[in-house]
Amino acid sequence: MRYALTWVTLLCMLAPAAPCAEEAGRDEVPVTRLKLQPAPEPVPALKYRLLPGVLEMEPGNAATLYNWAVAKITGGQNGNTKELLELLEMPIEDLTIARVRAARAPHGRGPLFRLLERAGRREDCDWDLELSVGPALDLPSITDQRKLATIAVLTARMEIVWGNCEEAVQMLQTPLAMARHMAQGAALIHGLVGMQVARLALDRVEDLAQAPGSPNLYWALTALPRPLIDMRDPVETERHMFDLWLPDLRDPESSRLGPEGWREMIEQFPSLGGGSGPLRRKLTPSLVALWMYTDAKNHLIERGRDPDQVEAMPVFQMVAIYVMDGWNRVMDDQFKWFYVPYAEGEEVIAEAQASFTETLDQKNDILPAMLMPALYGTYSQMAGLDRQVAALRCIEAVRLYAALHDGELPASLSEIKEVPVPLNPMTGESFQYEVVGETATLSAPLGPHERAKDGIRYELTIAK
Amino acid sequence: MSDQYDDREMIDLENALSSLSPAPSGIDRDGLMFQAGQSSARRRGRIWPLGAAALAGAAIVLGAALVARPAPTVTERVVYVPIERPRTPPYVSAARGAGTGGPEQAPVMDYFALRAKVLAEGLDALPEPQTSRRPREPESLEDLAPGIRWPYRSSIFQRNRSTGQPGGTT
Repeated sequence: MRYALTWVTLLCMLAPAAPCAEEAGRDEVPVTRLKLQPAPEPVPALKYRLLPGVLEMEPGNAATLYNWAVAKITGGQNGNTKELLELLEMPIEDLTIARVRAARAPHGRGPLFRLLERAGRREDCDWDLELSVGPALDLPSITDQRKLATIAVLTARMEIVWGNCEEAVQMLQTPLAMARHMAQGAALIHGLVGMQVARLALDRVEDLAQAPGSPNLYWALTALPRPLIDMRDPVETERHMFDLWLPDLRDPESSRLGPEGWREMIEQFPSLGGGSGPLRRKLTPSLVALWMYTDAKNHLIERGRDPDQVEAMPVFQMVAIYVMDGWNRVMDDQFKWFYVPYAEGEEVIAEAQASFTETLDQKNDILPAMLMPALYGTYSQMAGLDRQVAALRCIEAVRLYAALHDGELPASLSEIKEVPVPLNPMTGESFQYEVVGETATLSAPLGPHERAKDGIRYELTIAK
Repeated sequence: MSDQYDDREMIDLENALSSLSPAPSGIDRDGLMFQAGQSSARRRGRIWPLGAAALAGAAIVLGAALVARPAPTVTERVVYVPIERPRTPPYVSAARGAGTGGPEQAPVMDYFALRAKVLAEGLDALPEPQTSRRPREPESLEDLAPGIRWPYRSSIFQRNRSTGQPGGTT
């Protein structure tokens, strides 16, 4: 039985472990080459903002307007998300209106963008997810929202192409606000989409840094909230997904479900009761109960329950208590690291992830072995986004330095005295900066759970 | 001969009857009525008087107890009544709605599976949005408003399935 659990655990951990398989390509961090336009600090310093200001915010639910915007683009007359993302990934000098039209991408500040602008200025965003349905949770428009955000970023990028840099900065507020809305009170996937949208919008700051006449965005970036996308809500939702789905499992010891009720409850556990037919659905809970019965009984007695009470307890309730104790123990052991600042916990977290499968040595670890999300990737993505903001602040600081020093690159980041140069929030140390000839390299080491394509490596030159 | 015999017997009977004289009546009507009333009154017994007396006594005793009883003391007691908690509805896969399986189809880990896929493969694992799918063009007015009985059927409003042009099916 012990070996069986190990095999089940290993098989079930394949999906979460998949990102680790990419470690072979970790060294190939893509290089982003920027020809920076020197730009001094704007006056007043906070003239440009990358998120709507407090005075612009209005009460109301942004999700309603986002869904309205989805209805506006329904019908297939717009390009698909992949085509839109390709337009964002191509070098800005290759981006033409003809290409945008060929991809059937909406552009310009039309009714759709104005609607998204209104949504981005709403104080609340409630996606009204039906979390009580558990695995049947439907994310009705998440992919459409991702597409909308992509359209908003592309619209801002087209303004940069046309030389309207100040307009573009103002337009970037909309996708960034949308990215933050995505992660409000939603599921993990919403948060992941929000982080991707934020990255796409921040990539436009790279475009702006190369555009003649574009303003310096050092203070606009500095004024962004940290973390830019707060994954606390989605992570909390994931942590309590089971409790929201099956409320009787919040406190199975006090629940008044009868023996049949507990049996039906366990039938709903996807990993325990799930199966390909009614016979298996009926049999599996019984087999699991039989397999766990002795351990569950001993577990409850060890916890201080009266042995007579334990004997009188419905078997499936006993199993449910045992399984949920395992679930809560493992989940808390994994989720607790999310609340540690990344720079403080990076090594410990890496160790915890590596030893995750080894810690699953009890029968009641079967549920987390099946359903534990790969949280560390999310954790490093959230930190990576803040690192992207910090790196862009470094670049804007270099632009500012160049504007004040006849277009020269600083020999080192410590030479920049006009504004504070940020540290890498993932390590708490300075970014790596090196000047060779007329090119400076700005980079950061990859985090333990980071994919190479998410790494930071810029080659900076100053436009003459 | 027999007639003679009968007549003689009848004459004898007549003579015997005529010799009888009526005796005076021994029944006293008033006495009889008095005895009947007396008998009916005697049948009631003492049940009702005794019952009435008992109830009167009880009423007096209870009245006295009511007046003399001590002030009632109020005791609050919390009573737990078990209520059947509404059961979580059995999980029904969203995929079933698409007609991919019958009611006996096993649960599918839709959300958990999608989450694992997205975490492993990235957001490109998300399905293509609905907004990118072209809607099916209506073939006729019936397609636009199914269920409505149109007053007439005209080939003008029916798309030719082979050519895609209006003009009815050929």
